[in-house]
Amino acid sequence: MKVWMFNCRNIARLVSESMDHTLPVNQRMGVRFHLMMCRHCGRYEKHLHRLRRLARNQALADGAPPSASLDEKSKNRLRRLMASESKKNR
Amino acid sequence: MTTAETNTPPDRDTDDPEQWVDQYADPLYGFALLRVTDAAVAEELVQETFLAALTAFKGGNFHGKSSLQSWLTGILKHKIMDHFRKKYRNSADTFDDIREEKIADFFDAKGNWQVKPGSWGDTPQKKYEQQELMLALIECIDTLAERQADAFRLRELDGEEAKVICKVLQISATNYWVLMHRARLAMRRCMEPHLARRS
Repeated sequence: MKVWMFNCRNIARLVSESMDHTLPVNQRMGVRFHLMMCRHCGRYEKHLHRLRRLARNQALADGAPPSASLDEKSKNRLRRLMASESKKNR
Repeated sequence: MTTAETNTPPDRDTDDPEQWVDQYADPLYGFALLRVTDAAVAEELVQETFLAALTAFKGGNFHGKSSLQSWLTGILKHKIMDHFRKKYRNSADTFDDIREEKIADFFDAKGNWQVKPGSWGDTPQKKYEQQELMLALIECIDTLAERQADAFRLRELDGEEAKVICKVLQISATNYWVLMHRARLAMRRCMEPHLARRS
């Protein structure tokens, strides 16, 4: 398909792909050309990058939110396990 | 460095593996749970991490270049990838999940947007608003089909390479593009009410 025939469906697919690898130059130009004229796809691209930033911030935050905690029973089991394992081969 | 600091003895808590559970079990568990979503699996991964770390620690393989927490988190990340490898080892490269989003749902016959992406506002400044946004993001990921959700988390949370994700999830590159395309369309739509500019 010729790049100037790309519709929004094609562009959305390529915008997603461009988040994961560098597109071939003709596709890259096709996307850029379409985005200059199409506000909706422009927003789509911005939104995907926005979601990535949000997700990466979450990944960096040390466990919060959602803060999760193991119940005491599990922790006790782990404590006993670690105590017995750390005494081995001392 | 001041004299007071140089005289401070090394942190005995972090040096003693028996204290690890008290200090690091919760953050590691939270990290694992966000990625594997199953409480029992997350707990098991934390246990495996502690045991592997203990062996490495006794063998002198912790050099203190990173904090103990980030060292443990690094080990946990490997355990999580191993978990996904096992999970998808025998799965076929197909899209048979009924919750799979159809790309056709998002575009009309001419390839135009069915529902056009709206205008989003700025990221909220207030802490609780940001936390609500994060929770919404996590909930939206949970609504995706399972393999989509796993791929999306690995890629967007942790920034794993597409190539690595294909291998772990046992999918071809072509199917990976389709999978992520669907996941992103669905995620954008799901997050729109939370981020739309309020008029």
